[in-house]
Amino acid sequence: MKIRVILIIIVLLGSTFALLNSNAQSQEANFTIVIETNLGNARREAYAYYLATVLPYLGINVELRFLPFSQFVGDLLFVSPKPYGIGIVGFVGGSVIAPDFYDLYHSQGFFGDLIYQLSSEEWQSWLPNDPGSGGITQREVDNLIGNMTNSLDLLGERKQLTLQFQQMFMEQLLYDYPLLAPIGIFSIWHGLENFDPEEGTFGSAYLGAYWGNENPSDRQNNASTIAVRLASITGNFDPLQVADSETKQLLEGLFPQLLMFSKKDYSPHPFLAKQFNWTTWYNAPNPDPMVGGTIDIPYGRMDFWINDDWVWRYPNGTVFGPVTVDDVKFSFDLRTVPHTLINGKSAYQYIDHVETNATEGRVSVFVSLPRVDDIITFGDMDIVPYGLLGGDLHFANGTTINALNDTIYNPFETEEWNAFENNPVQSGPYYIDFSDVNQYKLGEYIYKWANPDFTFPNEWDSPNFDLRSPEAEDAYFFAWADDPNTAEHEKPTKMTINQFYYPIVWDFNAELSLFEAGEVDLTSPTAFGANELQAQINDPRFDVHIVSTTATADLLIFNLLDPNLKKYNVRRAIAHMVDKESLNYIIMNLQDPQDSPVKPFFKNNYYSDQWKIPFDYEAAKSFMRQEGYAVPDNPPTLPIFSSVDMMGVMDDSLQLDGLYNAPAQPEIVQSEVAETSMIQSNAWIFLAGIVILPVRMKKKSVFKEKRK
Amino acid sequence: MTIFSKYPLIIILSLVALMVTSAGVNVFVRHEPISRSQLTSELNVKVIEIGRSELDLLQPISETPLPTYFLNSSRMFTILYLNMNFMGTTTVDGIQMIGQPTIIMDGVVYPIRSRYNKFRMFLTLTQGTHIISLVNMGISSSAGLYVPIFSHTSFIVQVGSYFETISLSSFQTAYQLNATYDPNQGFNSNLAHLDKAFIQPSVIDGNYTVFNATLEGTGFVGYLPANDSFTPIPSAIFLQTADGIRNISTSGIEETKSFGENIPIANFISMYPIGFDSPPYSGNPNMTFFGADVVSFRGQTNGSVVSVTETTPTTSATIPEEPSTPSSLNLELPIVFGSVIMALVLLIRRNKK
Repeated sequence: MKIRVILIIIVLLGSTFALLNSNAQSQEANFTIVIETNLGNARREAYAYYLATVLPYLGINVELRFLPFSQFVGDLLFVSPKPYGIGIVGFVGGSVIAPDFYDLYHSQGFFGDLIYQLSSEEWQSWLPNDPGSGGITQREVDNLIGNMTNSLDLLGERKQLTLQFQQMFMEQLLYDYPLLAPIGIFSIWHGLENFDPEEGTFGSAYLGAYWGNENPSDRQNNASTIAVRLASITGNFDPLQVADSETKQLLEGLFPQLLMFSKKDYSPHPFLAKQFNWTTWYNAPNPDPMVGGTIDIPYGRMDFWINDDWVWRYPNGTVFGPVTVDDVKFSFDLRTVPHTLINGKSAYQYIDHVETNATEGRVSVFVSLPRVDDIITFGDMDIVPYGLLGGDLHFANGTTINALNDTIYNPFETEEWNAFENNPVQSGPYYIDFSDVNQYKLGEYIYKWANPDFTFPNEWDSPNFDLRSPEAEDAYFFAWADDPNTAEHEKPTKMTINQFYYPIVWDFNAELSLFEAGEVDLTSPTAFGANELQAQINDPRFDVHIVSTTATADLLIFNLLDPNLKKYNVRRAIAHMVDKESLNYIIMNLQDPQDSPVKPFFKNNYYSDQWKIPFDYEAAKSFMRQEGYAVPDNPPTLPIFSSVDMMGVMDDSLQLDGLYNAPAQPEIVQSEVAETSMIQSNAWIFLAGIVILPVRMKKKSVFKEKRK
Repeated sequence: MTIFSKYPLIIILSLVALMVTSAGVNVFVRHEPISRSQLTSELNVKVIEIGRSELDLLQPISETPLPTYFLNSSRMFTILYLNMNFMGTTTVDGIQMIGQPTIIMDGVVYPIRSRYNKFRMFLTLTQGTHIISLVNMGISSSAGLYVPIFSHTSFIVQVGSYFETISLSSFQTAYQLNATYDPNQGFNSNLAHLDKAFIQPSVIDGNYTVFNATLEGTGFVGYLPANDSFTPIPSAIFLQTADGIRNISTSGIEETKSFGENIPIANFISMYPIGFDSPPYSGNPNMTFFGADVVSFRGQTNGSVVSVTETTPTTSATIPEEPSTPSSLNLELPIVFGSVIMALVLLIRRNKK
């Protein structure tokens, strides 16, 4: 009997100690993850610090690695296995007409393959067996994304598929977790009627903006002028060669484009084209000329019928001739000839060919595997005059070449192109006379005038478009002008803003003075600090506007092959620990949460936050426990902050005003000035700090094989 | 039977003692007290703004025991906005330098690398009271002897739905730091992580926290881009408590203060230089880089440790936060095995009977 008692005592004692230890062990971390982002991005570093503080509450220890951006991108794209558990980065680019997830979440997509590693056997065999993901396979994910990408029925089938994907992503996939979406902030003098911040000044002018009675009297410009400061402009005004944003802004409205796209949702408006039609079928020409015939893949045809009353006009008022279908075809061909030096030609390489019918005034574009982006690629293309630049071109030394056929000489060096670059013939709602070369120097100013010969295409001329569009879903492009609810001011008959005034002032700080003095109408208050922003918000003379952008939020990109993070429930638990309301104060409480893989930019049609993951500590613990992890009552350890590769790495984005403590070397000062200027002219980019990863370019390369 | 009944307890207690002892073993490479006779700070540091954001700034609502800010928030985690200014210069071999600004919150070190002397940072705070220190570290030289110099300032941020007046409890901490520098370790900037454990607590003794520290790769002076000809120099040791942060010598007795449960009562921080940089790598002026290591002790009311309260400071005990593993964690297997073995022994003996 005594032995039994002793045995019981021993077992009880042992169990008690074991239990105590097991409790003690629950204070240990379940696992440690590395969070990696680019050094110097204060916002992302703050997100990382936040996670390092909160994740220990789930028994997840965090080590932080802030790396130079190039090294971070290298880790994201090209290192395997990934050296991090979570990478924090955002994307810009991608389709602007409708959400397209092929690049990001399709296993054959560029980022899906390289960053998320969705094509790996390990992931494809794991996903169906992950209890948190409910048995879904990557093939099913790919199919859904493929169907979305191929659907041109934007507001019908594609919208439904997008909603379906959003639910799937949030409830079963969570390959990443989006935080807060970037926004743009700018101030404008009060009183511009019909002004639409999303459309910007030019878009609003085109839609009938004008200065009304509420415009304060201390504004210096007249009621038909919008004044905008430019830092500097180049001396080349050929739209095909201009790459800097300031000169591009100057050229806005000078050259024909087939369609005008709303900056709100990139819906097309009539412009040079008065009618537009889009059809698809599964009968594409075989890309292999040796075989010939057709193959059963989607094939698309865009038809544009152009207005016949647009004319090319020299700045002095002399008319050069009408804008024709030949100009459109030439402008496309010029971008695709092998020797051209034009930027962005790769965007056009998947357009098969272009046909014209001068009698009908029709331009037809043929595309294999058409995607929604093709409409903006072609519709947004700046058009230049074939009659001036499409024939024989002459060099000063007497050499003559043909614009499209020569493969040796650079046509931009010819006399015809030089003349065009210096003071181009134009055909748009506005024109500029560049004939005085001193006019566009620093300290000078430029006027952009309303074109008296411009005929305003105020609505689609498409009474019979339904007859040409056998499929109802193809008709959505025409909804804009035919909708009786379209506001009247969107159908103006003439330009109410008859001039844009551009003082050219390099010093960015001067912009604030010019703005407050009423000399210019726009500025970016965030570039001058929070106090200035608050002051302008409070000043009744100014209106501060917030606009959405096409960039994604910063994403917590999970390493899906990490033994712990490969579990949906763990990823979900981490998402539940993100308090976006707190995070929002990092950017002055001005951003919108992105609670879906779709960018809030698409809020009018596609974006839905109905599957959002709220901050919920109890839910987070529950998801961890479902996977067998112990959750400590208190965080077991303090965060560990690691920093690697400090050599030569300095932090630029933490700056407030860039003041140095000691005299700086001249070259450094110069680079600082340039940097400051860039930041201030794109204030929202600085604020959002989105790192540009060229989704669009990569997408094309991904589709290359597929299209072949 | 009476004899056997005593064995399990003896064995278990022996195992416990063994594990506790083994956790306390330290290996010292070399004992080398740090000389810091010529420390003078020329590095100014101050807080410009504190708030939830640039548009939601706070003013201190009390100046005792330190400038104290109240952040009205019922959220579990609240992000604090800090706008700071680091001024002042020092020289190394005639080269003008700036220091490395560093934020230490509740013993957690946030090193910052910025060529600008004004910048902002965001910290995540839980509900309760937090001690935040700003430290600016630099290097000074005198007759070939390099020493770290610094300036610092501290303040308190209380996060909650209402402000509670802060009262501090005092107790003493005795400590001893044994610092070593291992010249064989050399320097490689890629290996100069900040999270290396250089201080290891050994013995926790009543109300005195006595511990030894091993400092490996204490620091050096040299250009980062060319990792040669480094001069080793010692680190600086800080003690952060509820009443701020101060520089301490390698051994002695310091009074520490606490303002409640679960707040670190003593954070020992070793900051050691890892070189300096020069244009074009860091812009201008030159900048010194520092690494850091921390060991924190905090009182808790959790059942597994003795609480620290205002009224019973002398009975307080502390547990190491990192990097050592709490000794109790190693007990499970020995105890289970011990229990099983003893049970088997007893069963065998019973069967023999």
